[in-house]
Amino acid sequence: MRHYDFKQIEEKWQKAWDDQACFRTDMSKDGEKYYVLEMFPYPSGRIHMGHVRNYSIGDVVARYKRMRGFNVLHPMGWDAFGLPAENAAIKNNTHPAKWTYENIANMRTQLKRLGYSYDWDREIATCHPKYYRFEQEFFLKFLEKGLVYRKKAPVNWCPSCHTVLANEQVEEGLCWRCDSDVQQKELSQWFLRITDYAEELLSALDTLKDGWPERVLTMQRNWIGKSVGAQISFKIKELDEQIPVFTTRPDTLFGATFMSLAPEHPLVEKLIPGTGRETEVRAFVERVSKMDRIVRTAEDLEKEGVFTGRYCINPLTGSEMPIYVANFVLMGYGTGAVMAVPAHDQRDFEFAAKYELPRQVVIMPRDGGLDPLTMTEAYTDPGVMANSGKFDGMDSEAAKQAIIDHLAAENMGKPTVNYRLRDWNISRQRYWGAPIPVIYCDECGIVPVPASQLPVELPLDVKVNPDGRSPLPACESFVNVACPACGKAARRETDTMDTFVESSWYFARYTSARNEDAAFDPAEVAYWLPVDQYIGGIEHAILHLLYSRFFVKALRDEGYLTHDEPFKNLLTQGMVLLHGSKMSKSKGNVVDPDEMIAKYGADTVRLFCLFAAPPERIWNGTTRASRAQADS
Amino acid sequence: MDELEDVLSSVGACVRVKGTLSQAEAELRRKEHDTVRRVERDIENKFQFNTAIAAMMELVNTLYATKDDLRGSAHGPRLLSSAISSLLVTLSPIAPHVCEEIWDRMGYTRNLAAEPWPAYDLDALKTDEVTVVLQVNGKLRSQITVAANASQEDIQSQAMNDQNVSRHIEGKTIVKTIVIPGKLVNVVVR
Repeated sequence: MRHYDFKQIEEKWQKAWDDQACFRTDMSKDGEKYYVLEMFPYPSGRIHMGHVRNYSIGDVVARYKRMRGFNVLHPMGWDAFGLPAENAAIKNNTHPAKWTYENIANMRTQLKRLGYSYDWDREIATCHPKYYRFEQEFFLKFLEKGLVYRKKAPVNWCPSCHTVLANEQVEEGLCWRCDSDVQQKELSQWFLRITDYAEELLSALDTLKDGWPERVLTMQRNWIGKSVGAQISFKIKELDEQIPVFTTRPDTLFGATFMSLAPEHPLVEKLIPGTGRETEVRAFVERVSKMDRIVRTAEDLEKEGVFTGRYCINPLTGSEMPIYVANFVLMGYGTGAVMAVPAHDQRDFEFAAKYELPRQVVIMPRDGGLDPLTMTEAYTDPGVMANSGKFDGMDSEAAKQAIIDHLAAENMGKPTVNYRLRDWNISRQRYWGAPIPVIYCDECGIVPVPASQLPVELPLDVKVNPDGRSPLPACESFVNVACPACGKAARRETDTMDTFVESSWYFARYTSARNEDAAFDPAEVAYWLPVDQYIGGIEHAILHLLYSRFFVKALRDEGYLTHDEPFKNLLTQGMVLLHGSKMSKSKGNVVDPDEMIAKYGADTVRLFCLFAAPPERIWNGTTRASRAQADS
Repeated sequence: MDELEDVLSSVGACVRVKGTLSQAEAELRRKEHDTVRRVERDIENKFQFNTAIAAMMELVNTLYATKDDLRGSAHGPRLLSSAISSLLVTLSPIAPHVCEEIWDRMGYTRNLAAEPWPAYDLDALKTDEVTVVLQVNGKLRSQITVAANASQEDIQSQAMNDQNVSRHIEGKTIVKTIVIPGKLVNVVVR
């Protein structure tokens, strides 16, 4: 062993494992099944140290479980649609398909050089028609069921990527991919009705608490954002109209002293005629509607509003509440109207102070000590009910239900549940994605592509536009089509699906990767799912992991799958840093795995990745440390 | 490896041995089985590979420390072969190529990738040492580790030399010393 020729020896064993099909998986093998999966990569061209760490963790688990007698499934594939391919194609004057497939070939070689024990016979690439044809099939099933729908809606628009973004892809007002400021735009888009599953997505998180990090469960819980409260109707004085309001704080209803409406609220135009305030209100609405929705929800936003000249009636006190239009109220959440309780809500407190509106304390701290006249901020904690009629002296938490019951009995309100989760906008105005299989006919409207005509193949004989706009709308051979219903000239949908749709079901496809007749072989998918151990970055805590959970439930209800959850155990690996900052090409601090393999061999690189830090911890590497360890 | 080439053979990992072992033989065997146990535990418990690797490094150190004694001893070649086999099996998920190569050179015919995980023997983990609690006037002051078959005099003298015990008996008169072998020493002072 004095002269250890790792290159020759590593190649020899990689070939031996390959020749003997050591890692080929078969359902009929002995042993309990064990499915270990690392989040599949985007084929960017080269693997980086983050990949190596992720896949090394997965490979140790796979090899260990095999030795423990489990029948192990450990596949690999490519999340191959997406924007970088288009950008690279523009930059290098090539085609996204060519760029993508070349990258896949390179990265496959790199992974093989690391000796990972994948069953390469199950390799998939999501940009292949044999993959996305089933996604189009799911889309059509969902469409038939009403789980996917088309709607004109204000959407998040990234001006630099020329496409819309899902709510989950907007991070602090910026595009998740390019950090551009996200704008709001009205567009007709396809939405997946993920909100139909909001309750199950939330409650089933409890079934994952032994296998998922608490941090990820909390992030998903907060994102789904369930709030239990009441819908309360406020009668408008002198008009035969009511304002429905959703509130999580019915205990503060006696302290509601005015009403705030979203500028986009349809009632605004009904309220103002005859009040003499039309001009002022319309000017305000016009000004606010041009503001960014994200800016409007920011905590530090200067709260502004305008009086409509109308009043509504507090259903419990009978007192008149002036109705305002306010910039911080949005139409998308709740009912677009907020009963304002200045004593117990900070935004209302600030608004009331600015416009000199009355404030009524209705909850006192349990130990007293709140002076309604000198309070400098809203009191938002629970306490004891005060100034609330027959509810006085009650615990405020108990009063929530008592007041809901009272309102329901008087027909003035009802208990209700609200979610922060919105439906998933899956339309993308991009070329390099899976075509949405619908046709627009002047006679018949929206016509689904018949299942027999799937896949709707993405045409490859186009050139991407230098400004990034999709070439599909101008591709006549693609767009022009006979209506499947009436046979007249019609047009194909030219938007493609969000690439997060592909990654929402790939883990199930590995079980039946070569089946061309069906997305999943029922016996295979029932045997292998769920994934026993899933490994990937914490940055996917909401997006990919929530979408995948939704897809499994939706596909289960279509009869494709029999499981409720995709991933039994989740390991979120920490980020790989170099000298304290994130490794990235733009920072020039990338350690190239190929260079390390050439110098020290695959075993050393694998060992080093795993020895440096426990998987969930951030690995703050230094090249010196790695060399020192490698040389020893 | 090269040094031990003439004594190593494909006996398997965590093999059984018949008869009494010398101290060095028992030490290596205990370390081998303890390593398998620790690697298993660390992987099963949230994949703590770094501590698993540290356990394997300890086994390597023990191999270095015992190899010269063992290469000519009664059970030495068999135990060295077993310990290195266990090391290769447990290290192979992490560094599979080099482990396959050495495994092959040891004379195994089946791929290491297809090898079952070794089953450690709980009996092999039993240490020949026991912990003895030290008291002064019935109050816990310290504890020491002694050989299981240590004599009463041995234990007593080690107890008296313990820093914490001597601090508490300093300047006082020892009335009597109670020794319960393998368990406790109580020094009564006035």
